[in-house]
Amino acid sequence: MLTKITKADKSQPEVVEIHCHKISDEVKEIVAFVKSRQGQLTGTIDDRQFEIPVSDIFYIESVDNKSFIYTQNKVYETRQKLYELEEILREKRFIRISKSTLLNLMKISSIKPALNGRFTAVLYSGEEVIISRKYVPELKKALKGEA
Amino acid sequence: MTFKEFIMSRIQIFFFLVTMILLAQVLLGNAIEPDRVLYYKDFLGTFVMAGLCVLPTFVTYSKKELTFKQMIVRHIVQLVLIEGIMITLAIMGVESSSQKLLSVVLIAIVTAVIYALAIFIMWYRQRVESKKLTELLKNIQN
Repeated sequence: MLTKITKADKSQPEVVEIHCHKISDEVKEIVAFVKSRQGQLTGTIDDRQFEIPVSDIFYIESVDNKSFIYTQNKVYETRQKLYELEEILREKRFIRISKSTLLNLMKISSIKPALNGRFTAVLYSGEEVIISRKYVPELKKALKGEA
Repeated sequence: MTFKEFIMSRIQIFFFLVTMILLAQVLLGNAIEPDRVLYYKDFLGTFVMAGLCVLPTFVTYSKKELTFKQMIVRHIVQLVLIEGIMITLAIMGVESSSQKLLSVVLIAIVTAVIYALAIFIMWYRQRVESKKLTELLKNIQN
């Protein structure tokens, strides 16, 4: 696929246009990446595609090489890998809390102790997720604004 | 937790145990044998006891993070091992057979209480820390 960048006039809106022979998985991934940079992620439920505002996401979990986006009451599957999402969402107050979970700091209601140096994050949805001991220092840094 | 960090935490536990065992010895000694004379070498026993009690804590070490159930099981194994060591030491240390049973029962109870206290202190420290984290969290959310 050729990559072409054209400078647009400031009076014109910025556009990402893809010309392709067919809407392949690769094209879908590019679209998902562009949207994620704009504060939206693309997720699917039963093969139906949805745009999910980042501010609605509670956490993202990776299970068996698949990534799942959790909102207040829905779970979407996404093609993007957890490490890609971590990179994209770093500036949007998302933090890695375990090997397989990215958590939106804005959706945590409180933090309580768990056994063995771990913590439990209680979310505004009532759900609880474990903050792995390994990622506690990173969480502290993020909360203190040092990350 | 790396093995080095684990060793450092064991050293902290060792000194905590030395303090608690000394305290238990003072209280129990006053209650059972208030007139007994102690020599300098007797204090060495406290360190040996604390060292022997730290050894079973190695069962809680794991490179991978343990699940809640695995952790509970390992804590139970740890307590059983500590109780075993303490009771053995009590049997070896008390000469009078009439006092042996009483000593074993008391040592078993005191060990369990100290263990529960140690777990409670660890949990309490984490609770204080989690409250601080929640406050920091509220600051960035508002």
